[in-house]
Amino acid sequence: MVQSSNQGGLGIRISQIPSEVESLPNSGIYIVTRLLPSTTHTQRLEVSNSTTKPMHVLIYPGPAKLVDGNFLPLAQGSKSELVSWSSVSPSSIDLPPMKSSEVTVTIKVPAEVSPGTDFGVIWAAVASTPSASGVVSINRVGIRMYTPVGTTTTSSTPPPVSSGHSHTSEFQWLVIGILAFAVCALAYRELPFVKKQRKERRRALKKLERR
Amino acid sequence: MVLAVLISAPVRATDMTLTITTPSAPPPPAGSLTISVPATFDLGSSTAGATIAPTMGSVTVTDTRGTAAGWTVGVIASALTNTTVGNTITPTAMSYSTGLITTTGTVTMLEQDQTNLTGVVPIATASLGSGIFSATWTPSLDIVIALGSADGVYSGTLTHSVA
Repeated sequence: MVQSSNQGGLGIRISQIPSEVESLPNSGIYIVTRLLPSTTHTQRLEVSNSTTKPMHVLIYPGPAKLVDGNFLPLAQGSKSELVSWSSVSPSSIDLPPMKSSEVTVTIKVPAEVSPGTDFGVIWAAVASTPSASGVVSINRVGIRMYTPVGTTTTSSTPPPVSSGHSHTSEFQWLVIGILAFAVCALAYRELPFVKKQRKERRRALKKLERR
Repeated sequence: MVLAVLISAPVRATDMTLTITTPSAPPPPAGSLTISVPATFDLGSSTAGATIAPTMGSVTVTDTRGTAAGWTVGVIASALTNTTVGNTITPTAMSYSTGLITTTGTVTMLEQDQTNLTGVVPIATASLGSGIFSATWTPSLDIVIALGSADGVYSGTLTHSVA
């Protein structure tokens, strides 16, 4: 059992979380930066080789979509605005055994954007040596991108974590208001000069009745 | 490589022993998602009208991120192209099954067999993971060689994607 987890491979992780998204859920495992028009965002990732052999790694952005809440990568070449704005530097690395290296993802957002949430993946890929007949097997591992575009949209996924503090509803304020009014009214009745006035009124009424 | 030089009996003439061992790879770095390196595989040889099931190496995905976010593995195949006459075997003729998925740590794996590898189709999903966990499987790939396929050598690419 230990053997399989110790086999090693090609790994990827976020090595630096941009401060503006630090408080967002999943900012440590996905790219979740809000993309405003005419801005440029950079984020550092770390690609690692945990095997005992050297590895040639290609790093590139790829398109993805969300279908019924499931995140699905799309075939290379599928149309994606996010992918056309994204680049990775360096785009290929030769990693010695047991070494890791940082890459920088740059997202250049144009002036004209349509608001929404864009999905993509930054892939790190390693290929097998081609077989005699030229068959190649590629394994790739990626960091998902869930990026809200523009100012109005909210990030649809990852789901926000419940913040814990409750908000007082309008109904609750109405009840509080009525109670406060009742307390004030009762207190007013008990004021000395109000009591005196009431007594005098009662006396005057009795006088009238006697007549 | 670990070099251990053991020097014994310093009083007498030098007796030296050199032990060299290659350590097994330590677990992937913390906070990362890792996929094993693909092994070279070949499709062997066959005749038109047959179904081939090439032997593939195992695939291991290790998650040391320490979150319950999970991940999905997708597979896509290119068409197999006859290098001499340009005839192709399309990915619609290819099926993929993970078979039994062996796991370490805490995770729930959902297997999805596929009978058409044209898109990046999901073949396995990890959920409810906690701590460090991994999943290993040896894929079964079936390719139907249509009757009338031209003789020759066919080549193409099979890609596993995990995110």
